[in-house]
Amino acid sequence: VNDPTRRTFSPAVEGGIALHLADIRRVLHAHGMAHPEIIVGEVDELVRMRLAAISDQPDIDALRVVLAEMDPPSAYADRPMAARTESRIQPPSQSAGQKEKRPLWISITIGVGVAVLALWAINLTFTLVVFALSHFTSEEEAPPVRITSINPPTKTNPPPVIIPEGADKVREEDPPPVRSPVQPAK
Amino acid sequence: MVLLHALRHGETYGYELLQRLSKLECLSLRESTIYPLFGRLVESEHISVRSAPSNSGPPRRYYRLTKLGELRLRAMDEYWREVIKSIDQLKENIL
Repeated sequence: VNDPTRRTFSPAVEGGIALHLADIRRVLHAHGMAHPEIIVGEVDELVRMRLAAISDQPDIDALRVVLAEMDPPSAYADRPMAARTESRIQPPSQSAGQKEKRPLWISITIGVGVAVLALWAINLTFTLVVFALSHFTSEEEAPPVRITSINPPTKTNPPPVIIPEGADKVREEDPPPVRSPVQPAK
Repeated sequence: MVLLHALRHGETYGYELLQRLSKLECLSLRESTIYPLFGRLVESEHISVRSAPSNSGPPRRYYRLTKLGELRLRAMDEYWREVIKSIDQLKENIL
C-alpha cells in the first residue's frame, strides 16, 4: 500500500500525468525510439514516486512542481544527444562508423584494374612523346631544299643538284656530283 | 557502459537505478538520457526486462543483464582500460 506506483491519485492529477505521458509517447513515436512503452512506463513511475515524496494526497500544483523538475517531453527527441551517449559507450569494433572489411576478390580486381590503367596511361604518354619528338625534330633537322632544275637529265643537261639551305656556294674543290650513266640510244 | 555496470550485480528496477545514477555528479545522467538507453539495450538484447503485475497503478519493470550484455560489458571494460592506458602514455610523454 505504501508503494506509490500501486495506487491512484486524484482524477485531476491522474489526468495531468496521462497528458504528460501522452506528450512523451507522441515524441517517442515521432522519432522512432525503441520500446517507447518502457520509457513511458519509467516516466510514469518516476512522476508517481516524486509526487508521493511531496504529499500523501498530491494535488495539481504538486504535479506542476514535479513536472517542472523533470525533463520536458521534447527532451526525449534529442536524438543527437542520445547518439552521442550511445557512441560514447561503444568500443570501436561496433561503433557507428565501423569500417567494413573488403572482400579479397574485390581488392584483387581493383588492383589489376588500376595496374592496367596505369600501363595504358604510360604507353599513351610514351607514344605521344615519341610522336611529338619525331615531328618537331624532322622539321628542324630537314632544312628546305632548293632544286636547281626541273628539266629531265640529258648529256648536256646534268641531273639537278640538291643544295641544302645555307649552302648556296659550292666549293670549287668539291668533286662534281655523280651523274647517273646515260645509256646511248641505239 | 554505465547502465550495464549498474546492472552487473543483479536485477533492479528503473526508479532505483535512476536514483543511484543521479548521484554520480560527473555523469549528470537524467531520465531523458537513461530511459531511452533502457529501450535501446532491451532492443539490442544486452538487458532483459520483466514487468511485475500490480492490482492498481502501472506495473514495475525489472531489468537484468543478459549473457550478451555481460560479453559486451567485458569488451567495453577492455576498451576502457586501453583508452586510459593510452591517455596515461600521452600524459607521460608530454609531461
